[in-house]
Amino acid sequence: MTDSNADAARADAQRFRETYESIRAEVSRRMVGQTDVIEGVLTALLAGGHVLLEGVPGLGKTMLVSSLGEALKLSFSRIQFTPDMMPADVRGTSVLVESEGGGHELQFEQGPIVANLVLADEINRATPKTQSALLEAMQERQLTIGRRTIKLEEPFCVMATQNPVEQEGTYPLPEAQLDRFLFKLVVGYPEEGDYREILRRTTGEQEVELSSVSNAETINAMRSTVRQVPVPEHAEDYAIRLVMGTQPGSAYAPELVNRYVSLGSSPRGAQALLLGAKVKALLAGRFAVATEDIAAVARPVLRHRVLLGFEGLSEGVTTDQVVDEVLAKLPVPEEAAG
Amino acid sequence: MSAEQNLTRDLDQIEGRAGTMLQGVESRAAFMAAGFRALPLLAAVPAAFVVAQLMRWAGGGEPVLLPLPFVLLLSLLAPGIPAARAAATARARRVSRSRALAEADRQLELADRLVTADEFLRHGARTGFQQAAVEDAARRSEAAAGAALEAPEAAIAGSRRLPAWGALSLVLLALSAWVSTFEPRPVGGGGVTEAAAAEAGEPLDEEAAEDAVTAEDRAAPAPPEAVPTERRAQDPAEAKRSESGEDVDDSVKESSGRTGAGRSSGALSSSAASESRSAPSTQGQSSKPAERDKKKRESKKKKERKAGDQPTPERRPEDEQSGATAGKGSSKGSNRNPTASEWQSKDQVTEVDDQEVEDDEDTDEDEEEQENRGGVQPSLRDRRPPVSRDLQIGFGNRPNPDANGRGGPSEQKKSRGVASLVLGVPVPDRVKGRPGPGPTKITQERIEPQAEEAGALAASARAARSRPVPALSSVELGPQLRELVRAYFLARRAAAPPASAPQ
Repeated sequence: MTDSNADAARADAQRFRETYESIRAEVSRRMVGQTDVIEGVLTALLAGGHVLLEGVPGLGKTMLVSSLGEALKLSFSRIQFTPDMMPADVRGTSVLVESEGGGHELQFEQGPIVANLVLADEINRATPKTQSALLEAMQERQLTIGRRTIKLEEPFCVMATQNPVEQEGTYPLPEAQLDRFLFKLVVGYPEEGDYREILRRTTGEQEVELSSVSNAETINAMRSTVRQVPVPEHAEDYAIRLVMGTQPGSAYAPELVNRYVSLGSSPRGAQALLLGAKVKALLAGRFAVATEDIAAVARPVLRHRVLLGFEGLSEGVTTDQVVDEVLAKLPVPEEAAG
Repeated sequence: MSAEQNLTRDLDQIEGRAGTMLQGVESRAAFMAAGFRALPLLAAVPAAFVVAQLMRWAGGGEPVLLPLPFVLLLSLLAPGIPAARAAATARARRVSRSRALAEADRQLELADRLVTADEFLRHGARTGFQQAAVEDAARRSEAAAGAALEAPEAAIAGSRRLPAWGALSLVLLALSAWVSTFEPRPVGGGGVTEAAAAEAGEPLDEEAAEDAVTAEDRAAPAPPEAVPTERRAQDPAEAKRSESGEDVDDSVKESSGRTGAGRSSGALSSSAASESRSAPSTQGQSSKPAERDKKKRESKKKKERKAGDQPTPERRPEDEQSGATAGKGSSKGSNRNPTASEWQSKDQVTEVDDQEVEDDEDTDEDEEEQENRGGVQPSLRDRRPPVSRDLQIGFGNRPNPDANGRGGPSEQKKSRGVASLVLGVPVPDRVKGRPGPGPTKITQERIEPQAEEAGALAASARAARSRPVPALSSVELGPQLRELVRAYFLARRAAAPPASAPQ
């Protein structure tokens, strides 16, 4: 404990905020509106997680991710998921090539997943077999193909998109896959005031060129800063109870959860809550996580980890309603302790 | 003094203020919650008071027990006592430091800075971020220590019931005030008759009504001090009459002095009459003219009864058996109608109640037997007898109805041995078909090949079509074939001389 450590922490936090703001401003040059989505994507990227973007076509999901790739100067690859895609198309496979001596040999060709920023476009159009090709890469940050194991380069972030409508011919993501996404962000329609700017930028002669304002090293440093943010006990308790509140039958589950939810969040949900809350705390100019930071990221963290039962689906209950109910009914740890 | 010491001092100060405030809030909330829970007591006190008044009035006493303001005060105090106790308990409970600081954080919008700094201050070695968090809180703690904290409002359930219970309490108090205005009433046989009639839900018959009116008429002009004397005068007469059994049926003797408890409405209707018959005798000593009227009426009634009861010898036991006199049995005689007993004999009557009682007794015996055998045994009532061992042919799949399962000699057997196994019902063969062709035999022969001559056709040009060609389905070529065709035509064009441009 020295003042120099505190000064270094303050400097790191200040640098974090400045870099974050510069990236957000650069991406916003091309993306009009959707502030929440941009901040959510950046938060997930800096927290070291992956993002699932859900929205109807034409809202700029793909453009957001590609803009982020340009602004961050990261290796970017795009995978357009289709029903006939195979796992080898994602991870890579060994191909037979002609050697110099006239012979043939098997040579490994890595797939598009080996990149810093991977856009998995319309991920729910691929079969579960292909979707599961992402599992190891997303969690372990490595690929195992035969006897070969490839360590993916940091930062590694999968940003997947899916369309909530046109469900025919799609394969909903399995729970194991969904759980690996730190955030699920719902991309909504732009505001009325944003439409004019969108039309002006996209139908004019000039195209917006983005410049890279950061790089992989900076992103890794920012991730390291996020990990250093301490979490007080009461905030930990709050995150744990929030996750338990989504589990039917638990002590903190409200009536809505017990009635309509069939599967609650896993401990990964609590990890995601704290990581997202750490980024929020830094952006708010604080040096420790507060309960309000956890509540701020509760929706994007928990909405895809809560599985509604049949009764909930038939009643039209949404997972956002479930999370809001848990937040409303969950007492802050100090109040509960009395 | 260092910044951390200042922070600790400020946190202590904030905790003290917030803790005191929260204790007050909790105490108030506990008081209100317990008070709302005890709201029924608000109405229970006046209700109990009204009941006590009525009981005293029914006993012939003055219905005023306590002054009404005193009852009102008691009603208000009743829920207040548990509320005050709960409030005292809540005030004695200490609010934790973290909770007090969290409340201050919430009210001053400090985003958990105070409670976080308090936790980090307890850590021996702090990281850079923890130290930065402590210093961040120290910068704000001085302002927070001077800021005013407002007591949060606690939501208390049950407040909606207050108007309802209050209104009920007021209604009961008004009822109590009304009951207080009741005159003390005399207690006598007429009163018992009235009560019995009121409980039976049927009006008094004429005689009883007249008796009651007479008794009231007699009671009204009499001075208040005469009432106990009259009551004392009645009691020996009633005792004497009950001893002698004069003009009173046995059943009536049993039911006298009771207020119809355990009787059904039918029994009460008849018992009211019987009691009314006995009532004049109890009141007859108070005034001579009334006694004369009663005796006249009684003699007239006896005559009518004699006229109507000519076949008395048979009728009398039936009345007793039918329970018309009531008060004799609790439930058995209650639903027996005297009018129906004319054609019911004792053998025919099998009451449902009796049957249930017998069934219960049987069940008890069965249970005892089962326990003696060492546990619950399966019910053997529906067990079917063993099948007959007779060599008689049944009807299809049904057993022989004459078989009693006892074996032994029965009818003379009509068949023995093999014949007894023959089916009683002939079943036709339902499988239709034809016999199989048997094993297939394959023979192989060797034949020499013979040459065949094919007729050669001369090629000829196809004649021109006389009609226009209809739409032909185009064959979709594959990419490789398309490329081949394209290359072919390109090669031909390259080889051919350039065609002259059309004019």
